[in-house]
Amino acid sequence: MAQEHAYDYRAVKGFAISSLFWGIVGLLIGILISLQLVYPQLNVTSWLTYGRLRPLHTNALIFGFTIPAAFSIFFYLVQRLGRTQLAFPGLAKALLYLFNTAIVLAALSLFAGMSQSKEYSELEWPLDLVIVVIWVMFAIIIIGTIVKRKEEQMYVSLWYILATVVGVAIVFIGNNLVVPVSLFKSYSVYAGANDANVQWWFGHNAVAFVFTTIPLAIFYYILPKTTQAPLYSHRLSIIGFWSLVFAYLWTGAHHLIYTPLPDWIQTVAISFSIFLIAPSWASVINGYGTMKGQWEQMRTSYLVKFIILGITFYGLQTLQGPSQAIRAFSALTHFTDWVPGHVHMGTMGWVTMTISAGFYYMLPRIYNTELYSVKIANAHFWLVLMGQLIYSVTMWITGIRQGAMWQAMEADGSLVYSNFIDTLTPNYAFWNMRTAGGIIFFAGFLLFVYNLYKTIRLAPKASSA
Amino acid sequence: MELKAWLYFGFTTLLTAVLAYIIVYYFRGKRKDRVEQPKYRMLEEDGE
Amino acid sequence: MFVDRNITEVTIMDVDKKPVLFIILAVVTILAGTLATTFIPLFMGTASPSRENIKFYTALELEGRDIYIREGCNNCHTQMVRPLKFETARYGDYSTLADSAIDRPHLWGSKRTGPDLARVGRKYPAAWHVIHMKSPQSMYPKSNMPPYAWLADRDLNTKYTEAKMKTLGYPYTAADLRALEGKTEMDAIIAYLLRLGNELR
Repeated sequence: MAQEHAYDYRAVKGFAISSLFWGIVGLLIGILISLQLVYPQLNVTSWLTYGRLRPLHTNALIFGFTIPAAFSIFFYLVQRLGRTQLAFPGLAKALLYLFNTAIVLAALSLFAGMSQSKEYSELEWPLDLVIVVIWVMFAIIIIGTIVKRKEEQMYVSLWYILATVVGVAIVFIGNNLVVPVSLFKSYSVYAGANDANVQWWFGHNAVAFVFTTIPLAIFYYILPKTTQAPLYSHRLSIIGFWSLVFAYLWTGAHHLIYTPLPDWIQTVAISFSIFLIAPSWASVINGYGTMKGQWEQMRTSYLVKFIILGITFYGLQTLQGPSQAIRAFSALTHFTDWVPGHVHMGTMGWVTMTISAGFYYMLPRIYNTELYSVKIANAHFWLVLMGQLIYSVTMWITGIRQGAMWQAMEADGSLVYSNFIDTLTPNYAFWNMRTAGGIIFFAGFLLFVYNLYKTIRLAPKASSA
Repeated sequence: MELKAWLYFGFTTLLTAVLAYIIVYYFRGKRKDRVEQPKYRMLEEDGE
Repeated sequence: MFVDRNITEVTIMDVDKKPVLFIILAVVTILAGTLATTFIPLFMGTASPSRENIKFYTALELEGRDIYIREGCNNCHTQMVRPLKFETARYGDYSTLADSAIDRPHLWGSKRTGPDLARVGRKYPAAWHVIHMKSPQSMYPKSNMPPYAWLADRDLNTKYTEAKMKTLGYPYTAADLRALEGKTEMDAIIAYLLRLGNELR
């Protein structure tokens, strides 16, 4: 079949570079706020206090790193899996500029303290409107390309891409219904327990449709392509996909255990969180199954290391999550460091490793070149792995210890540690270890960006458009 | 049992039935090739 | 584009060949959980209690609350005492639906780097808060709370106060608004903190 349509990688490249850039910004803020938690004197000027920087860290890494990585890799996947050229390339170019402008405005608004206070949805209403426009443009390009595909049957990665497009749209709009008071201030339409319930319905499904379906779409493509072995079972991924998308929407209230939210909503959330183990592990089994008879590649290929460690962290994440959703365990760990420990095993482990695998696989191909240095890629792998483990393990230790200290009561019912500060200060040593973990992770990420930069810099100039 | 219990039981049974139908439908022998085919197609060379 | 040769053969189970149908099915699947756990409960009384015995925020308290939101205090503090012995022993009686019934947005929070504040209004007087906000380290040498002394140097911006009270449907009088003149942001945040735990009439 003559190659009558060359693939269009301009937007793919633009979003890859944007993702890496904002990823560095997001990680730097992460290290700063980690230090601020131990050294409050680092809170200089109102713009750089922890309270304003923490939302900047989360928004920079969700909207600044993960979303453009998805745009980049999805614009590649829909072309390759559909054997067709990207639809509306002009729209994609406009999207790249609008997206980066929005990220800059978002960062400035958060520095200035404009916030709706709802986690991962702090941006004020004008920026919410811009994000909706961005998402509509993204949806048009993705659906437009898929509809004109040459390959009739859609491979599982395309399902997860469509789920991302649809899921993020629904939950983002649902949670950002507000009444504006001024250009920089608005109030939620929901109140009290309703607002909390809607927020965490959004919160956990932002995890579903950003931190789960995006890496899964990448994982399902990169693993078979890298190992040249067919996926273990495509039918299993059908079951996994539909039960995952169905069950995730019920689980938001596991963030609200023992709150005044009606008990039945909490119990339904807990039971569906436990049910979610099955569809999540369908993908993990698919990953390990595909490696049957070729585990040797774990030793020889850095790319397989990233993918397999990524899906392994996803497996651990989807076991740990349901276990901490149970009331007995939530009573101990809720509000403690245990939760950020869990979050970062998912983000630093599962999401970042899988996106790294996606970029390592895709960028050399679209620039018609080889990766600059496999040695650096391996160094990146070990640094990221170590940084992640140090981060999460220290958080689990302080989480359990502080949770237990809060609970400690004398026989007569009085608190053993009645002064809150006494339960806080022992964390500082561990928080310094967490910062070290973050710096090690950041060093790995810098190697990653350097490696890709050299790969692109040395690529032959006559690369495809 | 009052209505709520029946609703809860009915909903759970319905969910299980739908899941069972999907599993049986896709894992039945005669449909295996058609459903597994995409994973081989995606491996085939699709041009640079 | 594909022309489906024989329509009868293509059923809902062949959704992996029909992206538009796939999207519709995905939306329906997503809306199932959404309706059951989030949308329908909005209209059930259990999640939005009666409001008779609730004291509305005063104009000063509301402005203080907005500063609480602006400075991201909910990133380190929660306002949610759980019905567990060790929580009520530490913080006071557990939080109820009424405590946050008129809170738009809610500020329950999800991380206790600092202590829970749901009942802090009953615990410390204004004078304590002034010293603590200006320099938490002066009271707790090892505290990691950022110092907010600069709040005392900033006059309260009351340009939108009336619009805010109207939007939220909180009762206010012209006298209330006039009383805001000369207040600083520190006055406002402390007024809000003193209210936490004293929501009911």
